[in-house]
Amino acid sequence: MADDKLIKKWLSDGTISKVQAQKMLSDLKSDSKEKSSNNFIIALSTIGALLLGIGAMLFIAANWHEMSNPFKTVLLLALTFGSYYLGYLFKYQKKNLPRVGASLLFLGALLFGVTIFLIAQMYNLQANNHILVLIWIIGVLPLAYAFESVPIAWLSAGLFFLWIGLFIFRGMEFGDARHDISLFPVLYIISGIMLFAIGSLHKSSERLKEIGAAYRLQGLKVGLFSIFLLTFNWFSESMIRIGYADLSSQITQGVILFSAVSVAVTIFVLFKRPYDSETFKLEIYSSLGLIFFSLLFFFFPMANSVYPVLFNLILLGLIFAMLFIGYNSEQMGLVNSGLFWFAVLIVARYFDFFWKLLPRSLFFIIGGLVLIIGGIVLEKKRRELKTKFGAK
Amino acid sequence: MDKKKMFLGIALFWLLIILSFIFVKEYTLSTGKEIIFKTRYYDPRDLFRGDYVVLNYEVSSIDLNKVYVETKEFSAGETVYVTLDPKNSTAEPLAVSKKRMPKDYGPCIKGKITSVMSQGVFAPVILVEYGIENYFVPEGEGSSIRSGQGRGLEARVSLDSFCNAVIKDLLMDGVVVQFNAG
Repeated sequence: MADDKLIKKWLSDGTISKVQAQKMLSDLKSDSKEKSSNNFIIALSTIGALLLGIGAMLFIAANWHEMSNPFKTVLLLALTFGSYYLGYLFKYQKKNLPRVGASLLFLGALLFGVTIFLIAQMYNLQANNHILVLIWIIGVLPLAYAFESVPIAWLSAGLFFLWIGLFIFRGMEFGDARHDISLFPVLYIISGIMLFAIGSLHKSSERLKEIGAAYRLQGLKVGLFSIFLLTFNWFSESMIRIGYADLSSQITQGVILFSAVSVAVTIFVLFKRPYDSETFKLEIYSSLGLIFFSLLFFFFPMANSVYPVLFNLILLGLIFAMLFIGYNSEQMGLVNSGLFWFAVLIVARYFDFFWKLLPRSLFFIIGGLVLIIGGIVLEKKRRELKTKFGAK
Repeated sequence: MDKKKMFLGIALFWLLIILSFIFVKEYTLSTGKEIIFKTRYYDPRDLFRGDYVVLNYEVSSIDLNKVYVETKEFSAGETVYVTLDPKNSTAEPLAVSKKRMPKDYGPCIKGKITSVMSQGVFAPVILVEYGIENYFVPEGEGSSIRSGQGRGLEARVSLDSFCNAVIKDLLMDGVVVQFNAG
């Protein structure tokens, strides 16, 4: 899309007249105002929807034992379906308040989960029951697809990660599960890749492209955070310290099961090729490679620093891949994300290597300088890229 | 499909999920056989969902030497069916199996093995969770249960013919626990 600079360039080149330039600049200004106003409405109505949801939950919770079970059920159903209906009414039927409608649909998806959990409470079902989260996912997924709602796709993806944790540790007390914690990142790298591949499958459909992008982004974020955790020695050391005997069979089964599904979905994406991109194969092979290294870490732990070094290199490689893909496909979000993780990695390694080596005063002075100079350089580079992408 | 049909379809789907959920639990409560489960210990807790009591029953831990088993090969995460003594109104395990025993053997409860504690050459002890380990109480009432620690706390549980269980009441020394807010 044209921006101020481009219009001025066209004017100086003589491509457009002064009147045309003024009209374009004024349209651009009003479009930007409209966008900013829309964002404000979305933010306001989303906050409003969340406040309403929290308020409803607190009201029911505060009066929980004053109300009979049938009354509670009717109230919960009325709130859930009321929000859902009003959302539909505003966004699709009357079409007068589409953004408020979208927020109310999102609130409906939240209240559906609240209803499931509160009804479960009536029958004294355990709070950490993975089936309740699964029911919530099954309930909201059709909503995300039917109304092409990106926020509900984000909610579903978040619930998916929550479900995986609860599913693996089903029926376990925290004391029994404590040894498995060092394997959490492995589990989440694998499930992040699974969600990323599922998101890629959506790219062939114009209608579901944005939902796919939300899955891919969420999968990428969870995957990167998990890899970042494995760059620390603690996880490798605790794998050796604990040993297989103390691990629960559920985590082993879970890692194997989710790895198999992740590999299957990724290979399916490879053969189906839902989108054309120069980096398509890079994405597929990086995903498969990452699953391989995660399984290597899981089945062949080592006491030395081999794995932390390896995961540092993997994270660095992924950061460069993100910057490369972001640069080539002009996705500023991907570039920002790459730069963010680069900064986080540098800070973490600086603390790792120099905390014990340097006197504290020098550690903070150098650290401060690295952060300030690094921040300036990264911000400058980021702006350059943003301008470049904008100009194209 | 137009948006209106999708809207109605999803609304029906949600209603179906919620009502089936309620129906399954109400079925267990209304058709089930009432059995008293004695607790070994209990722990009142307070979370975002309100106060609740974590219950650990005598049948939460089963010595496989003392019950009928087809196999002693059990592992954590496995689903088991515990058949209870039909002559007893309190839960007394008679058999542990991986499949449901015939109905005439007695009431049964479905559970998941959380841990298998090996005892050398003897059959192991299994720890089982039945999904009835939490009981929600009115806000601030968890402490009234705490003050009763040491006294016999029991749960009156309804067991249906599919071995599903739902807690009906809590009993302290044989008397139903009443909560002030209730």
